[in-house]
Amino acid sequence: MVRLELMAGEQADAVAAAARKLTPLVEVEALPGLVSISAPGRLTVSCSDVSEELGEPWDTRQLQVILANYTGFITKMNEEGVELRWMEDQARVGESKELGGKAGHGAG
Amino acid sequence: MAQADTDRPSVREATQQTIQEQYKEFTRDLTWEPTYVAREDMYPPEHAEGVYFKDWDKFDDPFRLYYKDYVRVQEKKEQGLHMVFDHAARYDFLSRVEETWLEGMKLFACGQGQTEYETCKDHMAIARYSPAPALRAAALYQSIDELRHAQNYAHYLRYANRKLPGFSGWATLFQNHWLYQGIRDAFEDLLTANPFEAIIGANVVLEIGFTNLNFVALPTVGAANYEHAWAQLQLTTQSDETRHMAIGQAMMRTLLEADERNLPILQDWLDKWTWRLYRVDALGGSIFFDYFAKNKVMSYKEAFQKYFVDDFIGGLLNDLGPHGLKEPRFLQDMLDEMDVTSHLVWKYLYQRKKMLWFKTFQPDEEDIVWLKEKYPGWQELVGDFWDDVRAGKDVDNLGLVPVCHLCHVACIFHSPDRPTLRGPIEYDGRQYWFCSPGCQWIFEREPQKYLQDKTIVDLALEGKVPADLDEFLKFSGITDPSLGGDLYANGSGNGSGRSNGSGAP
Amino acid sequence: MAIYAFLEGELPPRHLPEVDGDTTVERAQEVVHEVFGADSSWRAVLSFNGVDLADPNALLSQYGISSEALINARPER
Repeated sequence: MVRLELMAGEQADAVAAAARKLTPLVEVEALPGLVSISAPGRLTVSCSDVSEELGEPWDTRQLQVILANYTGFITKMNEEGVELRWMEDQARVGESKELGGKAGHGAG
Repeated sequence: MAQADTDRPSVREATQQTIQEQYKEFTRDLTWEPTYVAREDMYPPEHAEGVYFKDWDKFDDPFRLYYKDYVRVQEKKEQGLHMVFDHAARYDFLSRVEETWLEGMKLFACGQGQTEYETCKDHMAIARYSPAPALRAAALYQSIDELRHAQNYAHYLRYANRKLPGFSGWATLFQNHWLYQGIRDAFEDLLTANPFEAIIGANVVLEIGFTNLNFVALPTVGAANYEHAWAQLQLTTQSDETRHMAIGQAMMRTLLEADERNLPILQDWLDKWTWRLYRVDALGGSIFFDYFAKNKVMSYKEAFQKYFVDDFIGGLLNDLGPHGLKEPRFLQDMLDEMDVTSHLVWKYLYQRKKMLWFKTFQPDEEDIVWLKEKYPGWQELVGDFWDDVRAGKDVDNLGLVPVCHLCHVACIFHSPDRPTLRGPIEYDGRQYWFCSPGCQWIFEREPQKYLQDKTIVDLALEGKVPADLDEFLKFSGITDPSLGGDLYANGSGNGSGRSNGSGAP
Repeated sequence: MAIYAFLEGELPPRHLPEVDGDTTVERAQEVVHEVFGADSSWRAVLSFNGVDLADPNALLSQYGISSEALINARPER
C-alpha cells in the first residue's frame, strides 16, 4: 500500500475526494487529527481536482504544510499534482532517474 | 493581517519558470569547481566510506525545494503551529489534558528538543561534506528544519513550564540523568558518523521508520488524551520529515541503482541503525501508547507492527528488495520483544520513581483489562508485581543494574526465556556488557568508536555519579524531589475524575 | 568492580554493592537477599556458570567470579 497521512481539515477532505477521482481503490481512514489516504500500488492526486473540491486555488506547497507522513515513493510533485508509488517493477541498475517533473509518468 | 500567501506572485509566475527550472537555478547552478584546492580536499573521499557513485551532480531531491519556496511553506507551518500554541495558552488547554499524559510530557519534552538540535548539527556537517550539490542544498534545509524543531520544543517547554513543574530541568537532565543517556548516545553516534551513513541512519531509519511511530501514531494518542498543542507540534514536525524521508529514499535508490557494490554497505548501515535506534526510540515511545495514555488508541505492539514493520520495513523491501536489500539483521529480535517492552520499561521506572522528575503510577482495573486484551502474557510477566504494589508492598529499587556498553540502556529484557544479555566480554583488558546480540554486533563492527565509553554504572562505581539519592537528584537537575513518585500516592494527583480506588498506599 | 545477581523470577539483574572476588559466598547471599527485598520467607541459593556455590566460607573468586560477573540466584523457601 502507498499512503498519504494528512492533518485533518478541509484541505485533507478535498485531497481525499480528489484522490478518489483518479484512484478508485482508495481507502480513507480517520484517526484523531489525521486523515489517512491509502491505495494499493499507486496514488495520484491532481491539483486542479483538489482546487475544485476546495473551491479555491491549491498547490503542492500547501500539501507540504498539511502532509504529516507518506508511505511509498514520491515520483511526482509539481504544478500538476503528486504521485506516490512503489517502483519495484521499474528497478533497474543504471537506469537514469527523473523523479517526477515530466509530463509522462513512465510505464505502469 | 499579512497578505495571504497565495496572493503574492511567486518567482515562478513572474518568470514563467517551472519548479524544475527554478530548482536547478538555485541549487546546481550555484555550485562551482574549486580552483584553489583540489575537489578531493573539499570533499574527502574517505567520508564516502567506500560508496560507489560517479556523477553526484545527477543526484536529485524529489521535493525540488529551493529557498524562496522553502521559506514560504515553512512560514505557513510556523504560523499554524504558533496559532495553536497561542490558543492553547489563552484557553488553558493544559488544564484539560489527562494528568497521566502530562507526566509523560515531562519525559518526552525534556529530551526531544535536544535530539533535534543534535540532528541540526549533523545536517550542517552533511551540507558541508556531501559531494552531491542537491544533497548539500537539501541537507541545509534539513538543518534549518531541525533547528525549527528544537526551537518549537523549547517553546513547548516554556508553554508547559508556565503552569506545571517538571519541565525546567531539561538541560541538566539530558546531560546527567541515566534515563536520557541511551537516546543521547544514539544521536552522538549519528553526529560522529560520516555523511552517507548519517543519511541512512537519520533520513532513512529514523525519519521513515521511527518517526512514523512517535510523530504520526503517537500524536493521535496525545490528541485522545486532550494534548492538542503537542499533537500539532508532532504533526508539523513530521511534515518536515516528509522531505527528509524523500532524501533518504532517493539516496538508497540512487546508490543501489548506480552500483551493486553499494548493496552490502547500505545493508550494513540499515542493520546497524535499525537496531541502534530501535533500542531507544521504540522503547521510549512504547510506554506512551500503553501506560501514560489514560485514553488508549492503539497498543505499542499494534503501532510497532503497523508503522514500523509493515509500513517501513515492508515498504523498504517492497521498493528495494529487487536490488537485493534484505530485512534488517535484528528484526526478529525486535519482534520477540514487542510483547514485553512497554511493561518491563514501565515496571523499571515505577521501581525507580524516586529518581524521576515525572510521576509514574499503577495501571488501574480498566487499564489492566485493556493491557491483558492487547498482551495476553501480561499477567504472567508483571501481574504479580502490580498485585504486590496494590497490596502495599515496597517494590522500589534504586540500585544499579547492568547497563549495555553500546546503547547505554539498562539490560532489562534479559530472562531465561529471552536470553538477550551478552557478556562480560573482554576487549583490551576491560569488560563489556551488551543488552543484546544487536548491540554486541554493532560494537564489534567498529569497536574503536565505542571502547572508551563509560556507562552510568562505570561512572557510579568511580564516584562520578552520586550514590546518595538527594545528591543524585541535584546532580541530574531534579530540583524538587516531589516531582517523582507515584501519581496517586497519599491521595495526591489532580483527580481528573479518576477515583483512587486502586488502593495505592 | 561490578558483580550482579539475577534472581529467578525477577527482572532485571541487580548490582551487588561492595561485593567482589574476595567476598565470601555467605556474605554474597546476604547481599543478594538485601538487594532483592529482604524478607524472612526465602533465602538465596547461588550458582555461577552452572556450578552451585555450595561452600558458604569460600570466596567468590574460588568459583571464578570476578569483575562484571553475573551470578544466578534461586529463592529457596
